[in-house]
Amino acid sequence: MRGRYPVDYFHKPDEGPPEKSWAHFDAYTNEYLPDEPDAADKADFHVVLPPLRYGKTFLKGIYLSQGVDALQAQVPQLRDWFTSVAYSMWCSYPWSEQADGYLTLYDHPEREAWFRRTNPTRADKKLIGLHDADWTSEYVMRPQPIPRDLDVLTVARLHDLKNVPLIAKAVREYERLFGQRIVLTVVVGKPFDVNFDGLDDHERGQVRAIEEAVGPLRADRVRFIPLANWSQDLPKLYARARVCVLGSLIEGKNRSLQEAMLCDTPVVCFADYNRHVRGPTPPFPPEAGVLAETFDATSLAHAMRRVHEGRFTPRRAYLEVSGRARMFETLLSAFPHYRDRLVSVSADDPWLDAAMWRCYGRSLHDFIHARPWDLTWARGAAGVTALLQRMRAHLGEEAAS
Amino acid sequence: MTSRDEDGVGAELLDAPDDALTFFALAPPVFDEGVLLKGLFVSHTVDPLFENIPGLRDLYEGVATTYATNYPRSRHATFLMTQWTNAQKEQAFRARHPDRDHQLLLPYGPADLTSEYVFRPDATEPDLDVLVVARDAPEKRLDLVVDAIGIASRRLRARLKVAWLTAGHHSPEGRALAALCDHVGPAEYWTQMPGWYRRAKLLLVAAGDEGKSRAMAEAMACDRPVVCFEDYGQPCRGVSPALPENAGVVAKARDANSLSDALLEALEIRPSLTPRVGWLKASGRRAVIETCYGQSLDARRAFAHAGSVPSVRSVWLDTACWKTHGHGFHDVVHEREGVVSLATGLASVKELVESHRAALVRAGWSG
Repeated sequence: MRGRYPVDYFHKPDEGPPEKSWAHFDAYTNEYLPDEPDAADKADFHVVLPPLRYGKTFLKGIYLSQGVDALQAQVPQLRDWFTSVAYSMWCSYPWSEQADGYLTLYDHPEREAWFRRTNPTRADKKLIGLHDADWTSEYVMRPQPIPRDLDVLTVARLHDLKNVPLIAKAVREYERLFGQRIVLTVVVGKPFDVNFDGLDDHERGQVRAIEEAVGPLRADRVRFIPLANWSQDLPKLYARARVCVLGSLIEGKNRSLQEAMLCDTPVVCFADYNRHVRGPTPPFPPEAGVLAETFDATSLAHAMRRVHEGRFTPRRAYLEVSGRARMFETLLSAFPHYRDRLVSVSADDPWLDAAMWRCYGRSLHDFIHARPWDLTWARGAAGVTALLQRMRAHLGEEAAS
Repeated sequence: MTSRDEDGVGAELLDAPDDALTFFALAPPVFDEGVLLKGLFVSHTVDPLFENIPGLRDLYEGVATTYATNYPRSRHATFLMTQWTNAQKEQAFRARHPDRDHQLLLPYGPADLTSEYVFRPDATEPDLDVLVVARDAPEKRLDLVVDAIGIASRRLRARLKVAWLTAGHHSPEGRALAALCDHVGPAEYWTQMPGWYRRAKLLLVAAGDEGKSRAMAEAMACDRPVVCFEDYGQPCRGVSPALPENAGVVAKARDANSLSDALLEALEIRPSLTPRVGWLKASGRRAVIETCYGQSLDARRAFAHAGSVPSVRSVWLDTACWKTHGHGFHDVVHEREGVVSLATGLASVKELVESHRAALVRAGWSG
């Protein structure tokens, strides 16, 4: 993680010019850079496609990571086995020097052209308009047959960036406008007790700002859930919500929006969310939720009301344009290594499926959806080395030679 | 009562006892966005099921099969499994049964529903040359199998390693085949059969006038090529090919020499054959369901109301399946994650249908 956090954009819609914003966004990254202590131990490793024997040819795998350079410095054979795709976990283009491709969040030709002009040494990177959030598991985040008993949900760290106090203010505004008291549920993702012990000073400041917005904190206006288990509790919380709200103005591609939609929960965010990051691409499909037109509590309250009174099809709308199968195909299509070797670049391709069965004893569908996940994820150079050994055991030593 | 008509003989039951009723939920009914998509069930007892289970028609369309080459006689099925596309045979059927023109002819058989998760490839290197999966019965033409293996061995100047999966053998040709084999015996279907296919370099079939062979489908699903006669299933399939593209080798003439030629050719070109890919392009559960959705008026209406194309790839369908049954459509179709699709006997079928009805009601369907 390095650079200057663009705090000026947290609470003020980005008026541009875009080039200035892009420069500011790209000045910060959440990557694990190789000269940082423990970077190679922390770096994540998501396998989109494992290395395969495909007919008589060897097909490299594809992995995503926030720490491509750190991993490849420690595990140099990774280059022989995988195509690497870096992501920044932020609205910046990655800084990685070694990655074959970058996840750039959204398709945005103007920003891509600007990036290539201003970064000639990295102009050859494949730029792919997706982010790690697009790889969210649609098997973990899924509809649940439970009643929708949470009025408004937000899944957000208590950080200035997230504008949770503004969402709280919108909940109060909702009551003023529509004569109906609703409760905001905040999933914080960090353990703390009833006295907020466990929070740091910045987070306590956010709690005070929420209190200023809604009055003394009581469970009938704002309810905090400190820590929710990602695979068990969080999908149920999304499924219980009538609407999931994001208060940020800039981010990476926010994961909670994707997770909520996959749980068939409609979403709300500001129309100014990631304005210059995403260009003309909308934050989500219109059938998945409502955009608050202006950056204020009243507009947000109206958007929440429209969701409460409307009918939406979030999961369907989201998966019509996104989801793991589409991301798999987009990533493979980006590189000639796959386009030139595969009969078809498709998540339904029977050739790839047969190769997957032969090499790893599982279907392509199951691998894409990480079922089981033992060959799909690792952390740190040691974890990646162990994962490579397991893959070698499946493929044979000579596969990549 | 076993049915018999101009099309041949089959195992379809039109007035079966309760314990003989079978029900395979090929695709479950789903409900979302105010739209019900009926399920599809496959059975050789379609008519007794509709007669004995009130309301079944509201939830399901029936797919009738005879497990043989004749067209089903079911009057209540939406689809009649005909194994292959055969225009001549279809015209003759339509001419004989003008009162049944509302029923759709589905050019698939039960073999096309073979589970591609159970019968699947793996990294096994074959240690057997030939696998034979056949009863010891005259129509299996084991005499030609014996002769073809003998000729091939002589030409190779090496003994072929052969396994024969059978419940027993008693005929002279059966005893002769057993004498050639490294292994003879039965195999448990779910746990042992896939492994036997994977241990063999190919499946050898000498039968002629049969419906689509389950053993052929299983071998191809395991990525093992098939050797058979070019006229395999000819009367039933008409001009449809005996094997999918690049899935095996066919013997031109119906004799042991020709079968032996095909066997040797298949052993030689085996690395370039792609049986599973060929089979999945032509068959498999998704292909059958896709065809049903594309033909059924009810299904096409449901997809149209949902603003979706009638396809197994429909996101609406997958979302509706998650919301109705708590599983993705892929998992339901392939009976994964504990999904139960098969019921035998009236009580069990009623229980399965009721569980689907309850799921639809939970998803908002009001009947």
